[in-house]
Amino acid sequence: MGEPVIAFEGVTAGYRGVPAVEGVDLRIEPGELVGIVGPSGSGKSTLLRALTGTTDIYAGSVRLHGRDVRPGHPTKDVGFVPQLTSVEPDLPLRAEDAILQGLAAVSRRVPWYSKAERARAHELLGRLGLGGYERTPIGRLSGGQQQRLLLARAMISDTSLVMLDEPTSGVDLQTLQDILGLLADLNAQGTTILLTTHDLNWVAAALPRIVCINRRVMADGHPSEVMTADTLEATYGAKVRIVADGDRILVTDDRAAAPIGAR
Amino acid sequence: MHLLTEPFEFEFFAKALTAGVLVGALCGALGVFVVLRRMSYIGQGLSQSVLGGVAPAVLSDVDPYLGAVAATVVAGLLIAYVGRQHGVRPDAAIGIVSTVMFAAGVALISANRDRAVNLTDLLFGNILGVDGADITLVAAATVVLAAVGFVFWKPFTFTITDSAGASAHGVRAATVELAFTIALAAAVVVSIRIVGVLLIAAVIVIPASTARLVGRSLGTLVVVSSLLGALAAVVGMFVSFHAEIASGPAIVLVSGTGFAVVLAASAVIAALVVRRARTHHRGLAAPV
Repeated sequence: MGEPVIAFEGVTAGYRGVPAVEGVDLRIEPGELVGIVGPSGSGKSTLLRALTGTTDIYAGSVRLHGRDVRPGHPTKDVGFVPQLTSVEPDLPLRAEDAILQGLAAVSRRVPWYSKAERARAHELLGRLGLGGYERTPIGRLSGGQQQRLLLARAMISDTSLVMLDEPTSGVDLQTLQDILGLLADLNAQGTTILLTTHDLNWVAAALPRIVCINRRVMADGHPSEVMTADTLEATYGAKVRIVADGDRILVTDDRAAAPIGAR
Repeated sequence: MHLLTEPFEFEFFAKALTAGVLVGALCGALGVFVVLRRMSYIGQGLSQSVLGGVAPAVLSDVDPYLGAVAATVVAGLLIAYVGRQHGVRPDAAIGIVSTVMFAAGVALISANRDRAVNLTDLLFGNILGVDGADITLVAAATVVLAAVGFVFWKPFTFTITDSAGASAHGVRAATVELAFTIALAAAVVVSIRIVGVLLIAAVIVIPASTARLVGRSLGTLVVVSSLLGALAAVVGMFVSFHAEIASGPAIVLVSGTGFAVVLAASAVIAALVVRRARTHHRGLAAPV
């Protein structure tokens, strides 16, 4: 097996001396599409932040493209899509300027972007269904459009790895399907994708590999292997029922399928 | 015409005008990022902290200006450090650091009542006492900060608008934030002589807030805010001369008036847009 894109070895990481994940071992190979699932506070975002050098690492090693990630030292060749809630809606930024920020660390040291860079931003806007919004302030875009904009920002530097923190959180069904389609296309072109999600049915079940996290790795594999009632109960602490729907797996409430008020 | 030329019969006026324009443009440009980061009181905080350096400098027979420089840089670094700590919000960090340093300065002065410390120029500025060295200092700071801003515009604006995102995209966001704090401290130091401790927040925040009402991109905001800062200095200096009021307050009052006018115009335009939309929709809904 060659060099993995991402390698966590016995990693304990967190913030201000408090570990959020402990003893994590995880390898992600080039070209994989992997989802991390787990309850709130389980350490999903911490794993992504460990890869961007923005969290403290107390034990073990985090390697990205074969190089050690050091806290406080920004990483290169990574596209990162933060949670949508972290974006200030009233910033004086136009859509194309927001996308071009993804080139800030590698672009020429002048205040403007080249024609080629702008053309690339416009091409990405068109590809993500945002053609014609180049000069629109980001605050006037819907949540789904802003999410696609952040994805475009992560993609503009042609990185071989894109990481997304809750990319489908708070978006409508159409946007969710659009985003998953875009990620599948990107992955088919060879980009490694790592995302976190709370959505077990629409997102996690559709991925080729998922990792269940609750401060440590609880399970890792294809959804058909990982999304079992026992594993999900161990991960989430809640009883669930697994329903097979053709090739897809659906996770539902273990209690009777009656309206909440009728229970 | 005489109203415009008369002040130049006095040598101090041209110097004061030059210094005011430079300070207005410099603070106006930096103010855009201060406002965007919701740290509007950092200018006030840094300038208040100056007393914590000026008092010991005067009492030790050191140039008060050196004390001011040291205090502003220390305050900037402390505000940045304390504001990053868990459970401390940036505005609280500004309040804590600035008031403690101000109190330390007052305590030192009160404990040495036998030594005369003139705080009037420090508090209110003395633009009319500006000399060639002051103008050189302000001009040098403006040129250096403009050059740094030009070269590092992309990582700087990314960090200011989305620090976590910038860091994840390979920008040394922590270094950029530290550089911004030092730049702001430098701007405050060179501006204190002109506008004084009590009014420095105004020259940082008001032009930027006015520009924010009309600008739609960061580049536009910085240019408009710099121009507004410089314009307020020019108009304020003439008002000061002819109305015989202190120049610092005159500049701030002109700037505040400009903000009020633009705010009112924005509100009127927004109301007209809503009214037009309502009329349009009523027309669509009316039976044929």
